[in-house]
Amino acid sequence: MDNTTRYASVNTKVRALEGRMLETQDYLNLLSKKSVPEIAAYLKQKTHYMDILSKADENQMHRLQLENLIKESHIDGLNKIAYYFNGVYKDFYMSLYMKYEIEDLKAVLRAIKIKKADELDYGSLVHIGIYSPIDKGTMLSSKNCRDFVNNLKGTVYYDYLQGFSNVMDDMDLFRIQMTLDLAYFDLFYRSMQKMNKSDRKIVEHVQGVNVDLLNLQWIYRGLKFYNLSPEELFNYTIGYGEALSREYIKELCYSKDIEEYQKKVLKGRYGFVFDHGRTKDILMERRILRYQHYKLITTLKKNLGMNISQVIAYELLLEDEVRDIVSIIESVRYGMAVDAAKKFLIREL
Amino acid sequence: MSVEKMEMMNVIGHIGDLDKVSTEIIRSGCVQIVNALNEINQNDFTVLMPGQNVNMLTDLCFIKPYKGLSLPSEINEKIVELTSIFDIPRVIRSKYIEEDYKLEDMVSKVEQIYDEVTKHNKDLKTLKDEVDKIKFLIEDFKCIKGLQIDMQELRNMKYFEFKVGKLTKENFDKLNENIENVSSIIYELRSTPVYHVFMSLTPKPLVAEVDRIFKSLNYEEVDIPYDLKGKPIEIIDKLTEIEQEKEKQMQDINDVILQLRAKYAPFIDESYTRMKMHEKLRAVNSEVVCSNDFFYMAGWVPETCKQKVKKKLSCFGDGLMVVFKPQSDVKTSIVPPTKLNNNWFVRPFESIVRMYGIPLYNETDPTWFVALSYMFMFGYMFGDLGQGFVFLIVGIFLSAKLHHPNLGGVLSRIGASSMVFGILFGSVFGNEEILKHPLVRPMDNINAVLLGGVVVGVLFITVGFVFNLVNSVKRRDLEEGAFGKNGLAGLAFYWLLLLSACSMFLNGAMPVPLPVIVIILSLLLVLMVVKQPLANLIKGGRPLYEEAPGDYYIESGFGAIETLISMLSNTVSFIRVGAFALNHVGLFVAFATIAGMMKNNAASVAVIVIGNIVIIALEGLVVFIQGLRLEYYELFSKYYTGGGIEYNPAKAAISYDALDFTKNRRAD
Repeated sequence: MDNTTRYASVNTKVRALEGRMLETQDYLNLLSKKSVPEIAAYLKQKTHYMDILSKADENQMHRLQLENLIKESHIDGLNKIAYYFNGVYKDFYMSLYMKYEIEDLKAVLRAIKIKKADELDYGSLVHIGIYSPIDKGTMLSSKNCRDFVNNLKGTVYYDYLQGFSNVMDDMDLFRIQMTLDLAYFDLFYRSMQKMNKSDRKIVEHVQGVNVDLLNLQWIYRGLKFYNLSPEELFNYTIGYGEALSREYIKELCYSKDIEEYQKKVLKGRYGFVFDHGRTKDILMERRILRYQHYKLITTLKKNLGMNISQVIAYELLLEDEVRDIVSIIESVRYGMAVDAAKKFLIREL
Repeated sequence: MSVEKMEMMNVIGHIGDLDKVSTEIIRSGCVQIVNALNEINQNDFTVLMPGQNVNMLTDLCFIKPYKGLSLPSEINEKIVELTSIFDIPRVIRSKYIEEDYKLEDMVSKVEQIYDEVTKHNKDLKTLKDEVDKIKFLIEDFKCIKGLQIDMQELRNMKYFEFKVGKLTKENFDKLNENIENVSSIIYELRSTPVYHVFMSLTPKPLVAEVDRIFKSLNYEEVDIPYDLKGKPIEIIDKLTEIEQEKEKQMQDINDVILQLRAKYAPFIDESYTRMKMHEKLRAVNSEVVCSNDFFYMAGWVPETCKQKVKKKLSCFGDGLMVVFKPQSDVKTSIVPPTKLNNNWFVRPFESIVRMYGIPLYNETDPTWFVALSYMFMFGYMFGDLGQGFVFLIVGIFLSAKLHHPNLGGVLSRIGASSMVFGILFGSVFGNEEILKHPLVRPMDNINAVLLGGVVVGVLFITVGFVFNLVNSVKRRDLEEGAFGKNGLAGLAFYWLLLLSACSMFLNGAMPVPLPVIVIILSLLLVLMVVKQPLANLIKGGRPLYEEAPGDYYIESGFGAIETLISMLSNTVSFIRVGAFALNHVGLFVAFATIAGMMKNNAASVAVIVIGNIVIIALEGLVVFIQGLRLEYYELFSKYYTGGGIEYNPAKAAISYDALDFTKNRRAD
């Protein structure tokens, strides 16, 4: 199938779906709400979340409940495009669901570690079983690391986690989570190999920038908090970056201290992550997401050719919308002032 | 050749008999169970017959859905697992369906066999894992078999630690990228598509540091089991020995399993049918309601099967009350299923009707018309004695050998039709010289062939009108039947228009003055526009309009215009029947021309053969689809709704099996 046939309909659908997304005024209105039910009511009356919220009573809505419904709507939003693909393109598109599933699997792991898997909020793990043929209940019934790994048999993750299949209670949570994360990037790259060249380039670019930024963030955190050896630091970085070579990454890993590291990064192309010394660690992630939101998505949206860029842009926009709404719900729930809350949003208001 | 008449069967009996009654009903294989609770709620369950047991009806007020015991779900899984261990085909056999059996005995025996077999199977799996591990290890040691050092010595070194381990490809690459900073000597032994196996020599004081680095790459150490000592080449020998020993053990266990298979396979085979039968039983029982002592069951039975069911249930005697009542006595909200009943000749075409939808119970089954018209159109469009014969053979092969009775049946019949037209058109594999005196040569009579298509279309459309009239009468639908665009008014309009146009073109004059015709046509159009209020006026139904009158007239006004256009386009649409007949010849002429240009005979024969294959595959498909399009769009839209429910009786579907295929073949 050539790309014109493939994307003629899907791009139209993407445009239509993007037309329904929340606008700046919506975010401002949401921020001005005083309680979770008020947010729910607004979303139900004024936005495309009315479909998913119609089955719930907004007056009784808790924070988690609303967040879960929004996550479900996120999956619906992704599904709406999935129908348009088949073959290797479908395989690739489905791999977009993988990162969310891995996030949820990690949550299960953390709960297993502290022996509270049975107290985990069942409804919040909406992504488990969406990408892989696994059952949420079975995963949650895992008593220890070995159960968890064995329950993943038959999924793409199993090969990566096989080494942990004999670990009982004393699991190294950090390592197994890292393994899952690194597996994601491997699998993601594998799934896009069969797409045609122009599409692969676009996705490689988007993911490459993402990987670069994640590596920078990882090394920063590793140096500052984890006290890892440079070799370990390097081993946990992700391959497949866009602008940062492996040698450069290695050099960064061998920085003597955080100051030297900052100096090196500030000179480079991604210097903005440090915001010239006024950095608050928690805002670093926001800055990274904001960069991707504005720079990356704008580039993608400008690409009007018959290729995957519109779909990828939609996927990113949808994710950002969900993240922002969840941030707003949390800031409203915990009574944060509007101006402070704005700082935690991906978009600038 | 129609839809079979259905009767509603109501059964009341002692609750203890329920399973036996359900079993008999499944064995009879012709009752479509409906939810008894629905029926009772509609106040439609059986009326009391004189002389029958009054007690049975007294506690009808205290009913609840029946909840019977089910097989433990793991039994199903166990039976399925046993069939796969024993490698038994999963087949439902008719002989077991007819036999009675005791469920509890079967369950306990299955449990017992399962325990016995899985014990061995588990051992087998463990052994297999071990053998795989040893094989892996042997491969590792083969890479260092030149090494003339005792492994024990290597492991007991004082200043260095020796290890063999593996990393995934990605992680091994990472290690390599940073190898200058790793305080260890790494020597790669071999690589599989997934893993790289290597040995490492690390100075003892740096072991902790290097271990952390390895760990961050998910390093897996390859441990050397069985306390093996000696040089690598000796270890390989020892491992091979162990492997052979394990394989022998595996063989022994396999023999045991084979013995068990010989002992238990027939029983498991039997249990599989029983299990499936029990699932069906559960499905039937879930639609049944019960009181404390009695159960109530309802289902549709085709009239032709009534005696069969009665006979099956007769063994319960007076303890069971069975009442049949005709469909007309049942509330209309309980929709009877449609069972198509056609003779062997047109039966395959039921699948074409089914693709569009099952007829409603009181709708005329259009299968015979579809069969005749489809065969005619296909033959006309694709008339060729030889190519039709290919279709005939392929069709017979499909239905007889590959169990595609519908596709095969349709193909063989349209193939036969193609052959008949081939004789009329004088065409054998495209060649028009073998048959000397055909009725008509399409290419010499282009206009006649095209016109023929339209004439056929007019006939088919008229039959479509008639079908709609019959259906409207059955539905007592005055509005559509008398005044609708596909009803009497539409038919009159269509033929009047057609006849006037014909006489205009043929004679240049009208038998009746033109204004009269125009007035009649306009009157008919007005009738179609005001069909709803008119029908309601005649029948005395109120309100006159089902929607706002304004909306109604806008809609039916446009409807009238659409009628005019669609009558024209529907008729002209049939010109394609003639066009494809010409196309068929034209395509072959093209290939024949290419063949004529070839220098040697072999090449021209090859071109003719390829041409025929292309025509059969490509044009055959196109004509097949065009025929369907005419059936569905031009004809079905006139008279057919296809909103019925398919007749789907409770029965244990018997699967095909290569071994006793004839015995298990479905009777219907």
